[in-house]
Formats: sequence, C-alpha cells, structure tokens
Amino acid sequence: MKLTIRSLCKSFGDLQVLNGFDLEMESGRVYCLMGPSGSGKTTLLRVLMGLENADSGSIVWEDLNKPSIVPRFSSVFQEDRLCEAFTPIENVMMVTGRLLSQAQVRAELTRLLPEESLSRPAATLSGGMKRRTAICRALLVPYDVLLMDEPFTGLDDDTRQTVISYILEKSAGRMVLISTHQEEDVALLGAELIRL
Amino acid sequence: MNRHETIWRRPLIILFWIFVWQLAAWLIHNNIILVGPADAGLALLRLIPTGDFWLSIGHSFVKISLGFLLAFASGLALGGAAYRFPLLREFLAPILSLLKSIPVASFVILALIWVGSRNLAVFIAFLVVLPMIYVNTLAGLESTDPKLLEMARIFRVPPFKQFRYIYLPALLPYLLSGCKVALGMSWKSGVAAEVIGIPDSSIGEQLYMSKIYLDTANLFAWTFVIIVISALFERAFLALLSGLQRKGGAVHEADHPQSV
Repeated sequence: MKLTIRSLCKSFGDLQVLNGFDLEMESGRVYCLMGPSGSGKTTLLRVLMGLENADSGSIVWEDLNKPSIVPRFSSVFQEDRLCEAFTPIENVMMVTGRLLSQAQVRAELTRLLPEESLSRPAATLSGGMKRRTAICRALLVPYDVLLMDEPFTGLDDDTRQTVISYILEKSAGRMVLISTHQEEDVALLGAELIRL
Repeated sequence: MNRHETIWRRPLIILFWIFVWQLAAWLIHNNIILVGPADAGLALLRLIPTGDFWLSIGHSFVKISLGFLLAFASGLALGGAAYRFPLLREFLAPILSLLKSIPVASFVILALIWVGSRNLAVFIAFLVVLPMIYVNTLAGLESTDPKLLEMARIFRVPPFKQFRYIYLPALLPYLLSGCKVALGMSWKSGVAAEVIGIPDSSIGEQLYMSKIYLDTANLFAWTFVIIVISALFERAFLALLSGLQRKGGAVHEADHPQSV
C-alpha cells in the first residue's frame, strides 16, 4: 500500500496548521513524525483517519492493482481513550471481537502489563498501564495503517524499549506513522524521520 | 464518631419523632384531627387480616407499576430516538413541556373522560414518569464521551458493543438518578389519581373512604402502607438497575438527575 499526500492544507479559524504539506509513505516501513507542539502532528493524523476534513490538497491511498482504496486504520490517540469502567482485557476484546479468544488477549496483554492489572477496571490503572493497554489494543485489531500519536508518553526507558519491540513485531508489513517528541525514538524504531 | 454510635443514631432519631408524634396526639386529644402512632398501628393491624386490604394493595400496585414500567420503556425508546434524530427531539419538545406543566389533577379529570377510572392510575403514572425518563435518557446519551465514539469509529466497533461499552455506562447513572425521583412520583401521582377517580378496590378508594368517614386512623394506616410499598418497589427496581450498572460498568452516579 502506498500513500501520497499533496499540498495538504488545514486551518482552524485564522490558525493555519498544515500549509501545503507533501508526503509519500508505503507499507512495511515505520515513519516518525516530529515537530514542535502545535505544528500539526495530531491534525495530520486526524485528517488521515478521516476525523477532520482537509481544506485543500489530496490524499491518495493506492494498493497493488487497486488505484484507490480506503485502508483499515488502527490508532493510539493522544489520549488513551479507554472505556474506564472495563478491564484491559475487555477494552481489547471490544475492538477485536471474535478474532481473538480471551486467553489470547490475556497472553498478549501480559507482554506489556503486569498480570494483576488485567482484571482491574481501566480507571484504577496508572497512566503508563493505560497507555500500554491502548497500544496493545491498537496492535491486536486488524489494520493496514497504524497511526500513533505520542504513544510513549508516561513510559519509562525500559518499558519504552519493550513497547517499541512489541510495536515492531506486531506491525510488521504494515504502514506505521508515529508522532513523537524524542529524536532517539526514531533510531529505536528504525524509522524514517518526517519533520513538520 | 465510632461505628457503634452511627448504627444507633438513626433508629434513635426515628424513635424520637414517633414519641413527638404520640405526644402531639395526646395533647390535641382529638382522633379526627390527629391520631397517634399507637392508634394508627392498631388500625393497620385491623386492616391486615381483611381481604379488601390485600385486594386494594394488589390492584394499585399492578396499575401504578404497569404505568411506571410502560413509561420507563417508552421514555427510553423516545429518548434514544430523540438522541439519534434531532428533528424528533424538536418535535417532542412542546409535548414534553406540556406534560411537565399540566397539573396532575387536570390530567386525572381528562383521563376519567378518556379511559375511565379503571385504568386511571396506569395512565397518570405513565404521564408523570414519561418526561422524567425521557429527559434523563437524553441527558445520559448526550453525556457520552465523543472521543470514545471516535475511537469506536476508527476501530469499527459494532453498534451493539458501542452501546454496551460506551453508551450504557454514560446512560445508567442518569437513568438511576431519574428513576429514584420517578418511582416516588409514580406512587404519589397514581394514588392521588385514585383518590379523585375512586376506582373500585384501590388504595385511593380506601383513602377516599377514610376522608368520608373522618377515619384519620385508617388514613394514617393506608399512608404508611403506601410509603412501604413505594419504598419496596423503588428498592427492587433500583437494585435491578444498579446490578446492570455494576455489570455494565458505570463508575459514578450522576450528581443530579435532570429536573423536569
């Protein structure tokens, strides 16, 4: 799959967030989006997912033999966006449905979270645990394109290493775009850097 | 304050007010104006073994509960539909304003003409409860976190799961708070309607007879019965909803029900 963005513009009132942005990406590669706060990273991800409409410009998704397709997205949003009253297992199973059994979801979650946290409502988890649940949820659902908005917020160095290995394993072959503030993430992910 | 004190405080306060009541009855010394708790209790003991007592309770319970449950189901359905279709919400707004502002007595007289006295309590309980459930359903659904709905859209979560995991936890606290008010109101308005319409074998008829015969002891006994049945029905229904809330996972109860 290939993505081509040309002359993308987006503004909120008088505030021009994206101004003639161009980008090309393809499946099987990881891209890191960097830029100062307010430079339009989140807006770009939201426009790509169809949650915001661009003012002008073009976004074209192409697949082999299919000139124009709508890809299946998966995402780690800027906020965790978990159903707070439900456990990490329930949060993941809400999006995976019957594709994975409860035992499989539990096994995947234990790679990132302590076992005891899996049966607790998300509201009672620490910020880092919630973030890891959100990451796991995004990686276990079927998708073509993975968009992550500052996924490593609230994670210590060791956990970040574990999470990055997990992301690389689970997203192999897919198109991955990760917004981050830390230059070292680019190297750890073996990603191509995109500056906004 | 230790736990021992807390356990005894409430019964002691209740005993204090019963004593004040009995004292007032002794001082007034007129059983038509005020009967004491002892006389009211005796009147209740005389009523309990009679067939009419249980028949009246059964009749009013069935009618008022039916009115409440119908209004609960209709309020949920209409609230859900109004959330989904904003035009319907605008369409229903004048009717609901009307329902909220028309006095129950006017409804009762209209209902007597339309449906007769037999199903009066069903009709009145329905009309009083419907706007409360509707408003709280709508408010609960509107309190749903739009960010969670965006998440559900991106992850292609099917509608049933969206309802269970996102809408229901937002809706239940509002519904629970609304039902607490509506359950009490259904009994107050239902029995008031029966007093005006005097359907056969109803609690309202018994209250009316107490008025005709100036039998204040019976009036107090029946009032006590209404309070007990209303409280039992309220507890049973709220326990059911709370069970759903625990299962469905709402974390907190809405601070205030939406007033109607």
